[in-house]
Amino acid sequence: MKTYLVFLSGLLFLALSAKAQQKPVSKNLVVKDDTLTAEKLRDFQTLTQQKVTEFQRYLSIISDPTQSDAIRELAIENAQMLFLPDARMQVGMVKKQTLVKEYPLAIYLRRLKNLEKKYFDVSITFYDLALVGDWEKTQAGYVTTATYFQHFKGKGKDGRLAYEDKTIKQLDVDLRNRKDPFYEEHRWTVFLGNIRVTEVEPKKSAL
Amino acid sequence: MWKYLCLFLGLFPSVTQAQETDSLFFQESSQSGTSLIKHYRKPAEPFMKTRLHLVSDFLKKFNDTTLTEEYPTAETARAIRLGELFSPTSLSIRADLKNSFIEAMGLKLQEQPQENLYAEVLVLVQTKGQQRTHKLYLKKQKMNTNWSWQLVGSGSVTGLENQPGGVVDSTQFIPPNAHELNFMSLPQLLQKDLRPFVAQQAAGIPELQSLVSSVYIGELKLLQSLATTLYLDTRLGWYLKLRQFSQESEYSGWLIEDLLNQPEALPEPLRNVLQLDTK
Repeated sequence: MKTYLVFLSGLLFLALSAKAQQKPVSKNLVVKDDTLTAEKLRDFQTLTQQKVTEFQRYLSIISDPTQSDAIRELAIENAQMLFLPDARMQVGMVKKQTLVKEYPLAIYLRRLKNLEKKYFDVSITFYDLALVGDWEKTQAGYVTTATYFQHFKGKGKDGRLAYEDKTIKQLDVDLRNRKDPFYEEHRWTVFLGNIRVTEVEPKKSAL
Repeated sequence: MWKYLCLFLGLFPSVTQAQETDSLFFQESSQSGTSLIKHYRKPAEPFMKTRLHLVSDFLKKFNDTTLTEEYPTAETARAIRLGELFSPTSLSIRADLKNSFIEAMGLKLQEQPQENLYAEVLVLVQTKGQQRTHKLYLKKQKMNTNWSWQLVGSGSVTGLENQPGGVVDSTQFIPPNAHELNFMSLPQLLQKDLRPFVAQQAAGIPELQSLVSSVYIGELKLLQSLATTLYLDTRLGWYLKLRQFSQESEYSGWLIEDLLNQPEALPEPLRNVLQLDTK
């Protein structure tokens, strides 16, 4: 029993020390809940990259007509969980001139799924380059921008390419100490935000 | 109880790992047995790597004095880097003006470039049932220790009387890197009351007061941001007009569209702010 108590106290001590080290502390030893250490910020940069990659995977699934409807619906649901509730997506179109339209993310994802009505086969390919900028401190936490590139191809029933473009997308990224509904406490969380699009060399008629 | 004990002892994954969205798809197909993912990735193309994605990339290059084997002297390296910052449309800038700019910048660098950044945002507005474009002017300012954008000017709001709009000192802010996203969130932020976003030094500008009043009483609604142009005051007598250029060539992203060597060439609302700033 004594050994068990000693072991438990040791564990308790270790846990307390670890917790104390996790929080950034100012020079006058006041714990700052609105700031993160450089190490933690780097971790969150990696997490942001993972979230962008995850979002890209969802986009591939949502646009892929060979996937089952249930899987694509689930991908729409999960993709939205990565974003702030009011996130919007810009879509670029080139007709006579570049035209940019903006949709709430949920509507954009549904439109993406419905592209199968326009094209027989759709593929979205991503590049091995998702850049996450340095965090900038704000009153509420930190913000940054992530950039990725995508290559869109839409084919007709005859298997010929009907539309193709390469697009640069930039996302707002928001990191702040939010109340987590599951843990019922404040935790630092990353959410993706608005997405801006820049069209690069469209090959054929717009979506 | 067990959940809290685990949390306390740090047995749960770290904060970063714990926040991942649960995903049915976030696993390799070799592990899942059946492949659900048709996910291809291509190697990055050269123009993607050299693109000045963010304004901070532009500033880094603007202030870069690193020497290379190809450009062993500081003057040559600096001149070449500055020359690469011009957009493809900058051919309209007189060559002598461009040369004197490069010469004037020489090895002089900006100390606090963030403080001298202004934005002209073209927004779509709705007023009296009609849609039209309108220009907003913002400045990047430091509030306490943090950065934010604040309204410093507006195009004229015709047909509306100027009404005094008191400035509210607030913790509300426009995120500092919003310009990278074309200020997409600006219309959502400025739905009803613009006063928390008005910079102290610009509170008395009539056009801005007009805009604040017309949005407050619902006569004007901001719908969507359309385009952003940035103005960088080098504090060395030159103003750089920056825009984002997209092209599959070596230099793209945020580049210099125009060079201004006198404040009179700036848009009027920005001239007013510069005058107020230097008072």
